[in-house]
Amino acid sequence: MSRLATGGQIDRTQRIPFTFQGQTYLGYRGDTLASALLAQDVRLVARSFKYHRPRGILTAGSEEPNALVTIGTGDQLTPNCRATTQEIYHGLVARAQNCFPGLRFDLMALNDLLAPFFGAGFYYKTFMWPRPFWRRVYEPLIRRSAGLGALSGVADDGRYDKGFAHCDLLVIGAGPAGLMAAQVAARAGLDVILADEDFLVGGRLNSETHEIDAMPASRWAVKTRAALAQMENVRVMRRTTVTGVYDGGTYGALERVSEHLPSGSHDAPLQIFWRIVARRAILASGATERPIAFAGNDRPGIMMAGALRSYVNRFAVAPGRRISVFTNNDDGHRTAYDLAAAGLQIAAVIDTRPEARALGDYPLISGAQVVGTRGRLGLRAITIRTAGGLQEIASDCLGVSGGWNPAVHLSCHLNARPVWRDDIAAFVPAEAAVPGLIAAGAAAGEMSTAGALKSGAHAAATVLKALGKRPVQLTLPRAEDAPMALEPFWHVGGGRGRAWLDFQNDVTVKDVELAYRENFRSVEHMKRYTTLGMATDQGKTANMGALAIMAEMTGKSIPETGTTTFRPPYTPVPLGALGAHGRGKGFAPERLTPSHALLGEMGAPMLEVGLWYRPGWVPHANERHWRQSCDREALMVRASVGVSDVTTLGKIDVQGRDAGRFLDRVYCNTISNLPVGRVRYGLMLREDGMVMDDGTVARLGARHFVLTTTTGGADMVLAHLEFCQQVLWPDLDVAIVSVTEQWAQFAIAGPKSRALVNGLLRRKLGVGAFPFMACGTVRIGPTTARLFRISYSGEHAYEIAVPARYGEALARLLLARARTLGGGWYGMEALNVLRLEKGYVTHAEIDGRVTADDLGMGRMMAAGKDYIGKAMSTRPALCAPDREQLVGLKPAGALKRLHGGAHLFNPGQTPTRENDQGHITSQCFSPHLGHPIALALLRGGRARIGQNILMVDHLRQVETLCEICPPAFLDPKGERLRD
Amino acid sequence: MIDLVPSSPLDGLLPRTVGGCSLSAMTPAFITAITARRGAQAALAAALASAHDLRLPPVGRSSGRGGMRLVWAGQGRYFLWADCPASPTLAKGAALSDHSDAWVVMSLTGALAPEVLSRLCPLDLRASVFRRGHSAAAEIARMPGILRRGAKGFEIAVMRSFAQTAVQRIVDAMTSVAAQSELPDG
Amino acid sequence: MRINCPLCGARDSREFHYRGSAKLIDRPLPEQGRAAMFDYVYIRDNPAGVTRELWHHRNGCRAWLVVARDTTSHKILSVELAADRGRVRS
Repeated sequence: MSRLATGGQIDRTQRIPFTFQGQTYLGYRGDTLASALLAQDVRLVARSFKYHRPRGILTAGSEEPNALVTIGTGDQLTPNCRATTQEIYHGLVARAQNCFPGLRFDLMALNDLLAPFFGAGFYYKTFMWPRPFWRRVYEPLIRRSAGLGALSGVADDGRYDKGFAHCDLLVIGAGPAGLMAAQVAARAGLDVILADEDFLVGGRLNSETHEIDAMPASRWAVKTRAALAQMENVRVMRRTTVTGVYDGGTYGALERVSEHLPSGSHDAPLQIFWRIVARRAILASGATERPIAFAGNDRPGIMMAGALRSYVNRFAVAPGRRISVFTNNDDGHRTAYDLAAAGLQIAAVIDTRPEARALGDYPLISGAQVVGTRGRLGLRAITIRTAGGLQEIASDCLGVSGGWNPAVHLSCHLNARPVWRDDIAAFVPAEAAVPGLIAAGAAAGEMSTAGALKSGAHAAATVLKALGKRPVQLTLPRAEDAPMALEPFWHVGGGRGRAWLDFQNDVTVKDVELAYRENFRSVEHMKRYTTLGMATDQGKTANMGALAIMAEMTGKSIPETGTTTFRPPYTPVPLGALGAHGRGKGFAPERLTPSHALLGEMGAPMLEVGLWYRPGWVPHANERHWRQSCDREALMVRASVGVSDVTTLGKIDVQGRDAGRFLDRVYCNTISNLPVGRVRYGLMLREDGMVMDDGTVARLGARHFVLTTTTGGADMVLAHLEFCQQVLWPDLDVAIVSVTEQWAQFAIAGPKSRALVNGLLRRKLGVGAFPFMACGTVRIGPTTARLFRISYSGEHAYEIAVPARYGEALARLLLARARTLGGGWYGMEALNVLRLEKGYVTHAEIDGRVTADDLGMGRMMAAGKDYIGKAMSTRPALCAPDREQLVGLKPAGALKRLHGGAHLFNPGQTPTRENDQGHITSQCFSPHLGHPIALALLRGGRARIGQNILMVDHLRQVETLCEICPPAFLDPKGERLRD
Repeated sequence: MIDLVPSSPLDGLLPRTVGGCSLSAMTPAFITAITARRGAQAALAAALASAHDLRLPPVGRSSGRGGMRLVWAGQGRYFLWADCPASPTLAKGAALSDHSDAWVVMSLTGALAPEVLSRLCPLDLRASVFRRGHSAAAEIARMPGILRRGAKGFEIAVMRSFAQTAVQRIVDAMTSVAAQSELPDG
Repeated sequence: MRINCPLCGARDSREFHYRGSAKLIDRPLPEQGRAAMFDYVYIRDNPAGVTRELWHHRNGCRAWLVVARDTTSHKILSVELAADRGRVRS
């Protein structure tokens, strides 16, 4: 047991059971999984990615590269969780990853013996013969033998949320600098969001024994947080990592709402991904300690010196029995001092600096380095090299400190590079790297507590000035102000064994030297060639050492060598959080028609048309296959009457003195001469001459039109009309508004449609009244409705519109009345059959590459006016006779299969791209004709009516000989429409 | 004589209360889309004043009181939410279009209402910025809508066909926020 | 990215739809001939620097906007209502 008797910021009254590798342990509230395991003497927690080397906990923070475990079970199983940041909760289940059968004995450690074959870039040099073996044998084997955690394979049922927040000041990090900045800004009246990735605020203050204003620094942090929590204008967000910086003062942040609680005990989301818009931000993200590389530096028990202080001071855990420290700076000595004060035995402090001085009464060996270690499953001894030679020191825990790297990442997300400072031998954020962001505290290179407090206050004062607010005077609390005393030392040469740089991706100093020899010398090349810095920790403990070594080898300075590009997110973000609510039906909002409930009662399967839901068909009891329903409905419409909901088609209200003139400019045909009470089919072109959308225009008054569009084109057409009105012709007196939602609209089609309609109306339509393409206002009882005699089926038909509140009632009434006339409801499939039989086009034909003339509608293009698309449509290539033109196709031989998308070829020619004659745009089985029919775009099609053409479906390997016919298969003269 | 029975997509869905937040229906009896004619702003303002005793609100605001609200919704576009139809005299300065059926309007109240909306809407809805009487055309859970801060809470208008999805999303957000507020403060 | 709509204030770019170059404002008259229309429809400059673009505040006030934006820094320099910049025609 390694728990210290007193101290730590843990709640010893709350014992928490959890399991690791099937064994149950007890920890305390306030423990992370790492601290709780260390307290139970569990130091071996992982096997490394490539070589399956035994690994232990290296750090006490989110930069942890080694201690990755899989947490949870079932759909909540999450791989690659850092034990150093995971708070334990009652019943937490954790397992090690990438080892078989277990941690202590892992078969795949064989990889380590084969290490010489697995150096950087090995897959460009080895495992290449015989060639086919790479794909079929080597790669699958190698892939399976290396890796981190595995996914559960089960759909993620977790709850996630997304949020939008706005503030004057976002303070990133709640250490001394951040807390100070937040106080200053909040007292002056700014709206402040203070975010910290930890569950305690205070940052490094919780790991050190410093004092602020004569009280333990951690207590000062608690007090300050309490004061901030009282303020209305402050939002303190713990467990919240600001993950990325984006344009316009936008910051992404991941709030871990309930990862520290047992699942099933609450309804809260697991995580919330926030988009925070801040007028200003202060980067108070602190600094991350960096190691020194030496041979055998990856054994369990070798940790960062600052992390040792965290475990002792914050978690009251003794990380070992005989502690040693390897350092190049004064800060490393603090570990020996603090651990000795906690009663732990210090074996030695090994300082690379010849002039190093001890902070207390512990053995100091200056001007020395660690050149080797012993202890495969846990450190047992270290070998050091002094002027006098080699010496072995028994130690089960070694703290390493190579200095501290300010956490500059966020300041570089908009592609800036950090700036090198020789005095602290570290990179700091460049000024103005992110508009509106200032760095403060250790993140800015202010390494002492007093320096951080002062820097935080100063940053806040700068923000207040920029935002025109008067600062409130705040006395700076008193704190230690030790200068940073360090001599850069990056790696120990001449040791026996590999010196590790990137623990997570198993990259060594040798690999970096290899990259140099093979001329991958820029840091970006070295990164990709060695994979250093490419793991889930993004090389937070590796990048600095590697680039310093590369600098040495190339003879360049560190600033000349530079860093690789920093990209969001700072720490991993689950896709579930980024895509919150996006699963299943949550992917897009649903738009429901007035008849939706009715159709649901009838068991109609719904099709998605954009965001709308429309019924495919309405199945009858005896029908097993959709074609049975579809064929029946199509026959029913032509034999008696069918009703369908057409509410989804766009309806746009156009009013004003210049309404007619405006419409003349957007349609290719003339609209302004449309009489009141009449409807006209209209074609809208794009400015490049291609057809954009088709629909109808109804004139309800001298200055009042209602347009219809296709369902899919509604939003596009509305935006286009608004563009024309606002941008092109703002001086026209025309007002445009969508009324799609105002009116529920139903199609009533078939020989009995007039009878059905008359049965509804207060005043019946007289004989000969309301001819084809008429429109007007009618009454259904007391309700005003609009009636349009238009047809999409080729039958005598109407569309009737009522204010949408009556839509459901009207739908039920129409269905009942239709049934009494021997008809019923028809869905999208039948609707498609009916229009196909008549050769009417949809966006299957209007695919953005067809002109009006291609569709056989060239005569609609009016000569005497300008309109959108007119000029470009006269380009010779758009008028050529051999363009792909709309035709009908029917099978000419025994095989009757017609496939949408299949291409057309002259019989006898090889079906290659060069011989392509066109393609089938839509097809269906026609129950009226008894065989499949299709519409197609065929080169020079109109001149080839009566000839044969061969359909070739290259995907399904089907060839069908077809006869080319006019697009209208039934009633080509349209007599049924007009009767 | 046929008498079609009206229905609302909110029937049976609202009101809902979760954790102190309430979502209820408050669709006005009449909604009129008013699109000001170019150059006729003054004529419209005059007609509004004389017919309804309403003044034209500036951009991003609403005017009116009691059963009558005029809500700004876009360039030259206003929605009149009222318990009576818009006077035809308004046509002197604007194009009028009945939208009484096109929208559903809901009221979201409760201490956590701002937090709930922060899960649904990218707008800056802080009380200091989006004050009482302010209106905005914005996105609510990916659906186009209109938001207004009223006396007691927020008024949320979405188009009719979106009603079911909108209620679902808002209630989900209410549940999520309530659940989070009930977590132990550790 | 945030766009400062002159009517609605600063809004997230998700509310807007990008249409293309602000060149689209000046639609050639028929008498200017087909070549002028061809240029209007197809020919664009592609500067690494400031461009003027047409954006539609689709999920907001539905105003069409002219946005001056620097393609190298994403910085938005100005946002105006397109209606204010349209040519007078009747």
